[in-house]
Amino acid sequence: MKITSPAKLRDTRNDLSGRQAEFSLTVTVCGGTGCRSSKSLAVFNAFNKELAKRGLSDSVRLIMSGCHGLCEKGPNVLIEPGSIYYCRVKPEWANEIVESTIQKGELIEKYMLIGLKTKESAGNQNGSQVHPYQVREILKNNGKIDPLDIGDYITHGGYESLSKALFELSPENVIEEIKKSRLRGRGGGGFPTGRKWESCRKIQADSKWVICNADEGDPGAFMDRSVLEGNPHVVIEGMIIGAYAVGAHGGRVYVRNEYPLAVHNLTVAIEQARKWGFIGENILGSGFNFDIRINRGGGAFVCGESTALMASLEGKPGEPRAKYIHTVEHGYRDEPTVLNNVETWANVPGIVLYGADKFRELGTEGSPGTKIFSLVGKINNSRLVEIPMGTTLRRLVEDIGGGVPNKKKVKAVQTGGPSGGCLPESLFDLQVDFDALTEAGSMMGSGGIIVMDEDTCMVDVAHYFIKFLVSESCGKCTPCREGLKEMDRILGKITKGEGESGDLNYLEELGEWMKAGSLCALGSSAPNPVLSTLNYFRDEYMMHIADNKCPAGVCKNLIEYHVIEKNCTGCTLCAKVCPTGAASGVTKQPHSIDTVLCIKCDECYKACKFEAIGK
Amino acid sequence: MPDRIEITINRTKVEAADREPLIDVLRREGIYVPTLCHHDRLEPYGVCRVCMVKVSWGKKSKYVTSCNYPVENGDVFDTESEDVLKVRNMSIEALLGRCPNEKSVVEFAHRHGISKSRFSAQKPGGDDCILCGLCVRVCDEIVGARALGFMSRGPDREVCTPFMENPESCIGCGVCSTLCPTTAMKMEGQKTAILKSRHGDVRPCRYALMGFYPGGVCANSYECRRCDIDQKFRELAAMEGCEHPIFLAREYAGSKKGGGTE
Repeated sequence: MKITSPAKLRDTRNDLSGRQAEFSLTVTVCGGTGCRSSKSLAVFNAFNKELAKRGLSDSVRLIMSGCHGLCEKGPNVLIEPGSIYYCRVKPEWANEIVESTIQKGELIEKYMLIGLKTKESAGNQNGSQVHPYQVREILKNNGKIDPLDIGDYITHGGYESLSKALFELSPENVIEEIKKSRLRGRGGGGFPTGRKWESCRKIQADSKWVICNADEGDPGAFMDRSVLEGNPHVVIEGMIIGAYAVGAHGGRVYVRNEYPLAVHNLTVAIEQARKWGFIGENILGSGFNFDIRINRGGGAFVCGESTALMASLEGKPGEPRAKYIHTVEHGYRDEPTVLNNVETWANVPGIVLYGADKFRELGTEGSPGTKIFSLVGKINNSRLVEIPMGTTLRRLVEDIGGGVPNKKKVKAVQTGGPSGGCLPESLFDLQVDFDALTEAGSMMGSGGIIVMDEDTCMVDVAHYFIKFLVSESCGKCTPCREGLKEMDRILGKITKGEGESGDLNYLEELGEWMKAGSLCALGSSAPNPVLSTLNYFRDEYMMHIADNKCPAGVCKNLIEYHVIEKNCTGCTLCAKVCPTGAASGVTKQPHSIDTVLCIKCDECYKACKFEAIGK
Repeated sequence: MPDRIEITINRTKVEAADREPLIDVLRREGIYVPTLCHHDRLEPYGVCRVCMVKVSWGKKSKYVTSCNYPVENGDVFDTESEDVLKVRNMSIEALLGRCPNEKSVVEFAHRHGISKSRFSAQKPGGDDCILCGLCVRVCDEIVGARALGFMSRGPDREVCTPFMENPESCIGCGVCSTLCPTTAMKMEGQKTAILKSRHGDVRPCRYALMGFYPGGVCANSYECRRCDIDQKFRELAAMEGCEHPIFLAREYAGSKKGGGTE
């Protein structure tokens, strides 16, 4: 059935809402990739069976939603109304939850969200306490709607923004509103979206394109995936509005093939949107035509770079080209193209519907709005968070993330993915936005935040990221290809204890050259992990070179395991776990480690409960 | 004239066409910047990075490659300061490190005052190829055979034929080895053998395959250097300022279709 006018859209929404109101309760099982891997499908099936058994299928609505954001506590089940949140739910619990909570309205405390180590979340839990300090604007419907049901999106106000844009605003008005909102590209560069659209609008051309960049390749980042999995229609709606604004009739979504669920949900969403008349010819009866196609990426990190992505879309090798001539003039198929990241597109419907002023109420002057981060690494609550721009790193790590596990001290965070920088604990009062992070020598990137504790060696971390980038560099231009290879070699030398005194200056020289001389943003940001750690953790590099020591005890060539006799109780655990017999001793007597036999596998260190192994 | 603009190069005001490639302006003004991957008859590629200069607008500045940077009114260029030379020379040093034993790379580096490189070579003994892509691009853009391409990525990138086999589409024109700035592209000897085996007794002339003589047949076993036709075309190409007759062939094909017979 096609919706052919704004009035029909409103009628449909009322009709659908009326039908949903017939349900007294909604049970939402998280179906994000994280929860699915901890068997949330089985939980969903168990609930389905249990509700049917008790004859509740008609009064209780059961849906499988996208990511709720509490990935580590999954599978998660949310019961509305009342915002009752059960974590790490097992299929066997369905019986009890349906009986107590759904039928009798009682809370089962033992299943509730516990262990989210923040003051606010202790005890009861409603939305604000499940997500303390967060402002969920883009993710607000993630976890509430069924991503495979366009009707659900419509009842939550979906496509209202599109209807407003098409019938109440001219393309110029839309661009004006986006410009006024000061929305900046969420893919990492932070280029003003409105300005990009305006330049594209001004160009006369028969054919223009809008592209959604969903090639999220950073290790530890899953923001775009979660949006596409949980609420694909918001991205589609943003793209249609963008296409209307710039005058494009074709859209492409370039999404990683490694995101099968996102590809599936998006495919279904596009089919449904086409069937309901939101994409295709004469959208909502406005006379505007636009269609979207999905292209799956082949797994190259460099294809997140806009020109490489477009080359890949054209069927050529995914290599970037110089951007002196902008892609808004000559982009995909040499035609004017607007390329934005998933999250940027997802911001558009809200801005158009509620206005730029409302959008700018959140965030900072230079970077308004909210930003989604994936908080991972050595942190208690690994999760997806959405916070207003300008939130401090300390709030993010300590209050939202719940700090570092095992009573360790936090050492640094790495923002912006592999080519971002490492910021030390002393900078945690930094307000996170595009400009502040760049100034501190890191970058916003797409929003991955990796927390590191005191057991992390910063030289090793820099080496890890450089190794990642060496294998992902396309090799087209000299600085990126030769510079990364050289950085890899020098860092390898340092972590092996073969560093020389001139190495640090050489690394800096290489870094500055790559920054200035590389062809694309991958190359020019690639030295960030090295330059930022050299800037903030130079002492640690010096200790590796001058003293042949790795203070964090990570670089194998520079450490030697030994028993700290005064702590050792002779519990024999180290001897039991040692695979080579290097750790040995008599029960209840201090043990010892034979350094000749020791293969430095770290097992004894991890096993010892008395901090009696030193390295 | 609306399309004439004014730019500044090393504190001197210069007139140029709007969006003209910077390298053309520099050559016209007699200002030297080195290039390795640039060729006037090919699309600019911008990968060797030895032609970098600094462009600034007020307080903002960035480094750009002159081979593909389109000049705009008010651009201020710096092609000779220490900062610029540092970036440029580092690229030369990197290429020298990559090809420490390649004669033309060593000479090129020497000419720019670089005799030693701190970079280590990827291949033992060093590489011959600087990955400028001239051979790949000329085969695609001028010959149209696309018998060459790149494979692998990052430090492992190298020039290769499709699937590392003798390419069916190669016409044996040899322009790839003519344009190669180093000694990396060696193909002619092997290629004639392939042409011989592929075409058997028919033996189409290399110039026929390039599009000069439809149906021309080779009279002397592909020993082109001993052939008058080859000599003639080489002279003709030199007169027109081309390194290789294939460039003429494409101009011929463009102006008078199929009319290149002598």
